[in-house]
Amino acid sequence: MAKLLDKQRYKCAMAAMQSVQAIERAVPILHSGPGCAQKLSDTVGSSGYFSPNIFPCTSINEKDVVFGGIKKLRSTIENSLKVIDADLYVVLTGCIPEIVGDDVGEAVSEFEDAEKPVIYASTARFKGNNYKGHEQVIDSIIEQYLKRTEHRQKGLVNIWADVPYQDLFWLGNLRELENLLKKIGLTPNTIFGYGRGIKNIDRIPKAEFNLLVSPWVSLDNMKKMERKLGIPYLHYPTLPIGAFETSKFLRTVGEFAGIPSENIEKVINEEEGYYYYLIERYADMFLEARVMAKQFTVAADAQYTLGITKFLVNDLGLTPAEQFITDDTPKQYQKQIREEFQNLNYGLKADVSFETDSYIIHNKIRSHDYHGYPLIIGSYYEKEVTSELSGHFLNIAWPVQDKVVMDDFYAGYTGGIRLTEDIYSVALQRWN
Amino acid sequence: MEYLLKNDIDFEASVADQQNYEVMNILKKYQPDLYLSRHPGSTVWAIKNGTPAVYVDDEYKIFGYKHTLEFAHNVLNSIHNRNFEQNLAKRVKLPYTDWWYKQSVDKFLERSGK
Repeated sequence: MAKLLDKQRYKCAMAAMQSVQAIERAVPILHSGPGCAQKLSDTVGSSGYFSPNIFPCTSINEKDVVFGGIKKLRSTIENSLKVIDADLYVVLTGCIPEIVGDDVGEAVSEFEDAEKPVIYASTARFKGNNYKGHEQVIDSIIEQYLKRTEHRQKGLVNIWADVPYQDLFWLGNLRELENLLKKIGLTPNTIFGYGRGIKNIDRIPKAEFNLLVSPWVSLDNMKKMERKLGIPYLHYPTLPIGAFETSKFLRTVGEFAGIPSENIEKVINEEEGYYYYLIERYADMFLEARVMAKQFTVAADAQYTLGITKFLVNDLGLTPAEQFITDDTPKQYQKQIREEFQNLNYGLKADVSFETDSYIIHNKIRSHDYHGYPLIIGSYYEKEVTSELSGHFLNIAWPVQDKVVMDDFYAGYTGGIRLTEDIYSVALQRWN
Repeated sequence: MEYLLKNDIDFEASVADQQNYEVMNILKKYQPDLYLSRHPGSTVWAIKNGTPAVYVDDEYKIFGYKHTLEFAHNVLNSIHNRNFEQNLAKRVKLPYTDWWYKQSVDKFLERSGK
């Protein structure tokens, strides 16, 4: 029977144009019908050096469906190279050319000798959503651009995290993960955001290892780099938020990188010192402003549902009700992610559902007894159901309608403090 | 209280020694499973001692079937997840001297009258 999907929380694979856009001076060339970029762009934070309404596009139509769109693609690439001042051109294919069977790889290979690199990624919707599309873009960089080197730079670590723009806090989180690695003496390398770009892409093959901070996104990319570039990887599935997880994160990374544990403990001691100085000062508020029930629900992508659940349980001492993962996590990763939710301190466990249908999520939230006014953290779609329950609502996952985040972040020790500020800023509004 | 005494249940009670240094002395000695207080600014000190605490600011919150049950759940959740107080207790220095913790809680009480 046909199934309706109510309020989905992701976009089609071609929204990975945002991952390209997050690489400084990289431009997507869209081989698609007109309008895709318009529909897939976010309304805030995308009017950078390039913006979706100026991405070159083949704008293919009925004629190209019949006769093929390759001729248009060839001229669009050729003229983009002439007109647009970029360092990297990434051709992204939409549904139409993939259905009619345009050989995009062949067309792009004609530009092998161009002055600037031109690569392509297959991002039709039927290939997956924009989490998968993001992987496709990184994949194309690995496959078509990076070259293996035997030269390794000591202490250089590539950091990979969740999907730019789809993740509201992508920029701040990446910068904070970099800061954490610097503190334990490593040299981080990331490709997204200000001042990174092609020169950082060129450094990828020289890294001693790849660090992936995500439950599942980009795990395939790590495996591919291990095979093609000979770079080992450390997969840390939980976005570290707050002191407990961040200290665990630093110990794990430190051990993998062969850093003496006393160096790591020294950093942890300093960071936790300040963190608990703040927590101690506000601890009475957590106890006495608890108009908020102890039970909470997170409905977000795997990264935030897991990271925030661990933070609220292991740091703030709250109790998990049912949690929802809404990013259409591929089946092969679900078991391992589920196990993470079974592994909370004091033998606590959280029920978790992989659920993309908001209708089902909202009915489950409505029918659960939170024993008080619940804390619901999720996308804007959770606002209405939370207000029905007189609960506390925080919008942290796409779509985001009531919040502007430029470079704020939830990662690390400071990130835990930021999230706590956000939660209690909502909770205190009940009185005011 | 009468019930507890009649049924020979082992417990200790102290009356009106609610200066914070006295509370902390008791909490440290007895390490109870739960601390309940209706005084603003009190539960946070139990938390700093690593003791689960529930703030009972308003007794009307525990009235009736629904709210009695909610209170029970609140207590259950508080003793089940001890992360917050345990993490914090490991990190904070309490403002009382080691000498004080070795004293009896009634150290400063003076006998008056007959």
